[in-house]
Amino acid sequence: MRSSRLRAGSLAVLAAAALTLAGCSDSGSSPDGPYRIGMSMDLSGPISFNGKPAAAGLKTYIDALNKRGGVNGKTVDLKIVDDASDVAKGQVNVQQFIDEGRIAVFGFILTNLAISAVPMAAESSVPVVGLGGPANLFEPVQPYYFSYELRAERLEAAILNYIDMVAKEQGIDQPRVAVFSVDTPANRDMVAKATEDIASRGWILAGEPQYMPVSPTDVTAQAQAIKEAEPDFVLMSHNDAGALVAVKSLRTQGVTVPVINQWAGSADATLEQLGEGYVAFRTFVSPTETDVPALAEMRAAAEDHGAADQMVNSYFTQGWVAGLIIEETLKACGVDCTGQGFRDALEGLGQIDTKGLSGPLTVSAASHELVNTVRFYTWDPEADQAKAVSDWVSARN
Amino acid sequence: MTSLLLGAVVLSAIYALVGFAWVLLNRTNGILNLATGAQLAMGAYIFNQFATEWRLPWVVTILGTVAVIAVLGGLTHLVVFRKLAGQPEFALVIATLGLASVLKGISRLTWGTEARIIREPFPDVLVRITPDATTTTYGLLGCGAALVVFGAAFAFFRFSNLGVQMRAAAENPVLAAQGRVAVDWVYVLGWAMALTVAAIAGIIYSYSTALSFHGVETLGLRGIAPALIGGMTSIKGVLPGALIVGLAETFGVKFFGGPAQEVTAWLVILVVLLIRPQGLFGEKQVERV
Repeated sequence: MRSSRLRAGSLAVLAAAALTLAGCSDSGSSPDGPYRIGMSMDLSGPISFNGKPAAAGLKTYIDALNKRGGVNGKTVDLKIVDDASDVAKGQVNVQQFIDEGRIAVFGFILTNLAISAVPMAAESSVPVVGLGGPANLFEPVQPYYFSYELRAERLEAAILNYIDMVAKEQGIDQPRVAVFSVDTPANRDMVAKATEDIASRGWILAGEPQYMPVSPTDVTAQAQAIKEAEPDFVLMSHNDAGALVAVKSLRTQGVTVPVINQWAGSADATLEQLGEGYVAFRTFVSPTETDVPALAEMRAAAEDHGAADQMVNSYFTQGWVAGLIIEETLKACGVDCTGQGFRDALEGLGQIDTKGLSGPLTVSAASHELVNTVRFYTWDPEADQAKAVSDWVSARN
Repeated sequence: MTSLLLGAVVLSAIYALVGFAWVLLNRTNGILNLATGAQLAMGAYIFNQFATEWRLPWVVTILGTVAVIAVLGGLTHLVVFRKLAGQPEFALVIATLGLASVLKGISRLTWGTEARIIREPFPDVLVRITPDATTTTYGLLGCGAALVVFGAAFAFFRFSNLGVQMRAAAENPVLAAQGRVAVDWVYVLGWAMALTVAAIAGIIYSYSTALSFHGVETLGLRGIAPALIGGMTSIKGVLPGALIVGLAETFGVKFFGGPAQEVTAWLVILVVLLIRPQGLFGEKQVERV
């Protein structure tokens, strides 16, 4: 009799404990425990060379934040999990974060992972803060999806706005713009938009848009077609490897006008290799830049927390800024912050000052695209580094 | 037109080097090597390690790369393909697929996945060939390398004892062995030579772009086109095969646009194989029953 009472009592205690734990995970954040945030990022897959710095940047910011006491008196428990740019792994990660009661999920370097994760996260009222995406993630605004990277479609507007600036400086009233893009579905959409945009500005599309493969071996024919079109500028969209083949081929064919590319072709090594006449934009400053004071804090934190070797490109800065976004959102959300609360607080932030690490970030109920400006860079051989050739230029029409 | 022709010739030179690697291994070792692309990439990464990461003198870089690649080639035969001797052809092909995966994994673990710029021995500058046609120093390097490789291969197989032995082993390994040809070492040499030429192609291609495993491997897979057109058993067929592919790609883009670039080579392969299944210079396989 005594042993059965003891057994019943033990079971009751265990049940109470289980219910308490379940209650904790459902609420997303208890008043006493840390804020729990998740990041799903490519740490071992095809884009890991950008994913690892991005994750390291975020982790460095959070480590530094926790060292100075966290937010609202609470620390941030950040969990970073590898998805290797695999959709299934990304979904597993999101489910895991939901089960653990994390109140927001950051990351997804490939947008198809974000696309697959958003419905699941929205069902659990957990916002996903990803890196770009197709138009249907933004129009109409998805309540539980935000982006802290520029949408691919916007790159044509950014480049054409830069061309507008340069053409005015050079006294070119009606610029002739050639388009030279990698042949992917997203870029075909971008090219269609660019073509419309060029026409709507009253400019001239120089020749037919030219396409090249994802891994081009030779683009002599495309380069010659562009030469025959006699452009004033070339709008390019390709990564570093493709840009090297394309720009070298253009120059071999005698095309010496400025070539303006997007952020995938903005690595320091590419800018250096292609030199004068090649310009590419970035959405976040590179850790190697020397004229942005806020980078000093980032670098110091990276040294302090053992992440200095990951400060290899602007993806580290992107991750660091993600940390800043988290801090600002949590401040606004308050001590007892849930997924829904995080979403509401983020949406209500308005303008976020990144201290020059990017252009001003803006968010509202009407737009969940935080990044709307880019900065253009070329190589400065005298300083032996990349230099900015513009301020933050709008990426909107 | 002249500039397009020149561009096609420069492109053909790279394809010729890659096609050579495909055909050499098929001819000497009887293997359709689907790891050719991965081996191109590995060769380029090894070269980059010597040249860019360690910044060794160029003589050391070149000799070191050749030595490492030759050893890798030898090990590939001794450790993997020697044990598969006598197995059906499809087993050998599957083994090369496995080899490609292993090489990709090793490359990722060792060097990561980001694109790299290889240190240049000399600057890549424009070279005017005719008033209308310009290429670059590395474009000329590719053409020169192709001529040297094919010239050396011709002389080697025609006039050297070892070359004759390799031809004998390729024709009939059993008879060759009975004639005291060290067939095993012939196969080792075949792998070493194929990998070395593959590496040359990978390195020269990487100088026109950035070194990335995916990019160089893709070139390697495309390089089967000249081998198929010229004939998988004919080394001399690789040159015209490469020229046909280079011209088809370049003029395909000229007349049908950029999307035609990846398709025209395969269309040409289809046409050639429909007319002559063994390729333009390949040997007809006769099976006596």
